[in-house]
Amino acid sequence: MKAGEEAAFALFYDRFAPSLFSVIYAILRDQKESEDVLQEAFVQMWKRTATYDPARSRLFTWAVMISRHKAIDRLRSRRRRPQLTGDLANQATKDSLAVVSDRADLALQDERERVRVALGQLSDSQRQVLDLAFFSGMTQAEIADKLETPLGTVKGRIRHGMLALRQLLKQDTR
Amino acid sequence: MKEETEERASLYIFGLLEGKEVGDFEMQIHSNGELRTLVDELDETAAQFAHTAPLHPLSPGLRSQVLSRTPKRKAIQIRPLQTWIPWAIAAALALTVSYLVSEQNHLRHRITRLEARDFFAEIQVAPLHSKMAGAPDASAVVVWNEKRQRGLLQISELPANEADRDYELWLIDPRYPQPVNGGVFHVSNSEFRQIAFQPAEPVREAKGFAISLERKGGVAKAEGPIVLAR
Repeated sequence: MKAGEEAAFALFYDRFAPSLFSVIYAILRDQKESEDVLQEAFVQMWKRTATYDPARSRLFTWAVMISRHKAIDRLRSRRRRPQLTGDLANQATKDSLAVVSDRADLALQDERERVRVALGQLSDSQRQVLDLAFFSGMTQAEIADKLETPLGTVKGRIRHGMLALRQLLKQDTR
Repeated sequence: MKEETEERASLYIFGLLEGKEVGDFEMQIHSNGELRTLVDELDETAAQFAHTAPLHPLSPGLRSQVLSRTPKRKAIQIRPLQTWIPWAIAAALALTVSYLVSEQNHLRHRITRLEARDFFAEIQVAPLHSKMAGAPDASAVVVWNEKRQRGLLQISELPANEADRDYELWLIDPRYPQPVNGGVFHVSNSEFRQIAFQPAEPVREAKGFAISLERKGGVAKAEGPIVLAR
């Protein structure tokens, strides 16, 4: 096992980095910052691989949550300092970027389609509030303000949306 | 379960509970198995939002940067006496966390909980070594997920095979008298490749993996020479 860990970690990168980077970028909207955060997330994941508790979640869940946490942490600290001109930085690096990793394989495409179909069965208002909850780094109150919706309604939509989505995704894997 | 609890669980997994609510809810999680299961399932559900983010390109050099930053593991065995270390780390983390501002505090708690799930516990990793005198550097790594009954084979410097031959992957499960067929693949040059596989029979206890060189299309029972094995 030990002998294979580094190779496995390289595989892990190839398998998940495109999705994780896309999540981080969707939160931060800045290429350079997103790359920094992806690196931090992978270093953290690597350091934590030796924990002993039995697995209760999928590897992907664990990786997404760590990456999202890192990105939101960065987003919130960015909000406390003057805004950088991220768009200019993005433009400068755009030309040197490779196309979306060709390692994002068919299994990933299937998974994306499965989630897209499940989300399509939620109401627009549920989708909107869940999207903000996951990607925006906003608080409950900020989400309510942005949507001009009472806080109680926002909370209710998050609950209904998540329970429905859980059910839809469960059904789909049966 | 009360709607209010479900609501708090849904907010919790997004990091939307605030202040004292977080600690109170985490205490509930610890003492309520049903709630813990719900939170775990909602975590899995929330993670699926990752698939809704538009795919954004990775810089070509990022992979090597990331992999070079992962510290090399020391080849030492951890003795039983050292099992307190994770607990000490967890305690230190918990102390550190208590000084953080509430919004970060909440997120870190979430991650600490997730980190307690050993991500390698779900998968089995097996390096395969060359059994060929003519290609001693050939190698492979099998990453096997028993729960999902799927795996990934990464081969390196495996010699190209003749047109009428295929390589065949085998999974050794003591429940079966013969190794289980993991599928065939063809190598046209000594390339680095990753191949996804799914065994022909359910494998519950993979004790080993091997690759043999077989007739084109593969065989039900290994006949040819073993070229790579654990």
